[in-house]
Amino acid sequence: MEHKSTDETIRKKIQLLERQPVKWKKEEVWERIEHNHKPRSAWYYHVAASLALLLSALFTYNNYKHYRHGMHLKISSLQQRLGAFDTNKNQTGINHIDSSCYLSDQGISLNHNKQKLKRQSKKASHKIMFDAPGVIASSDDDTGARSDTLTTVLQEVAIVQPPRQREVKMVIGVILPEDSANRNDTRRATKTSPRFKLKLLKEHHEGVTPLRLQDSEFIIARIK
Amino acid sequence: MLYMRFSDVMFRTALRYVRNNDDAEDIIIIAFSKVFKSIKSFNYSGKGCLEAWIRKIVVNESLMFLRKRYNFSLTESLDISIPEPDLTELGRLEAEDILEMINQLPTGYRTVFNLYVIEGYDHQEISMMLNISEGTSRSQLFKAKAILKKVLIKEGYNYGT
Repeated sequence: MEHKSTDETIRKKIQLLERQPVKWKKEEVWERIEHNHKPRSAWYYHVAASLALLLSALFTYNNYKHYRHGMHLKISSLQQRLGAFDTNKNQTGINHIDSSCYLSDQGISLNHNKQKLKRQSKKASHKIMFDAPGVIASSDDDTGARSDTLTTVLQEVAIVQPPRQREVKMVIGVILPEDSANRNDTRRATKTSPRFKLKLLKEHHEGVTPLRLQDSEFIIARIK
Repeated sequence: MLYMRFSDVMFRTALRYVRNNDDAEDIIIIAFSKVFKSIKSFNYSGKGCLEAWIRKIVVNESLMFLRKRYNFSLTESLDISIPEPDLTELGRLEAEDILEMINQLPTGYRTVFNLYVIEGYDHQEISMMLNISEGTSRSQLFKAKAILKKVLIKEGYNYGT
């Protein structure tokens, strides 16, 4: 009982004291409340988060640079192969580097023009799969050596759909819808999937797209 | 204005728990932000209830602040059979002196002392607020009072010993 009264005395004295005016940063604290500022301790977390963000941005940029360098090497290698392809096309039996292809959900099915490949014992056929947006990779369903060069050429090249022309650094080829009236292969015409023609350009056009492409057309290009 | 009327007393209340002006200001920012945010849900039930409501928010914020830095459950619970130390002499001191002595107590003891003696919570409420057992709460209060009595004796206050 005695303790209770002592506690009560202490409580009253302290509570009375706490009602006295006190010197502190009242206005500054009010401004921080008004402006919905976070407490000082939260700033440390902000600084830490900002640093983490900065480090992650640097890491991403470094990775991007590394990726760009890798891509540059791949494209250089591709250009060399393209050159070799042009040089050796007579030996491979492909007089023209035109091929027909089919777009599907899974990618592009590419078939060399039969007439141009009539001397071949096998029909060259490739299925080119999208493995990333705008980038194609190919998987052979034919082991013919003649097909390999073209497959290699098509690997790791971007398919760019207009109007992203400003991003195009070098146009390597073009995929455009095949006019059904000009189709030689009537069996193909009955297919429901649209038919496209792939044309690899002999001369690579730098800077701008050499052709005025429609929305349904694609170009195969080296992108910046 | 709510802030102008209650901020001084609430700042002092927070300061009694955290002992540091910067930390007390941070607590006031959070507490008053909560007050303004949930003022619509406040039900007026008589004189002094608004201050009590704001005080409760400030005390809760102070405890949350302390919980991040201090583990209240570390102090072992004691079976106290001896009578609680008498603080009659403390009650006779000036309020500033009492507050100064309370501020010298370790965090755990000071917090329980503040909650029990100054705010008027019982041990069951304190145990829930600090997530400790009632025994620990009693033990911390006992130890806080024992330390205060020891200091008073050292300062020359007569306890008949």
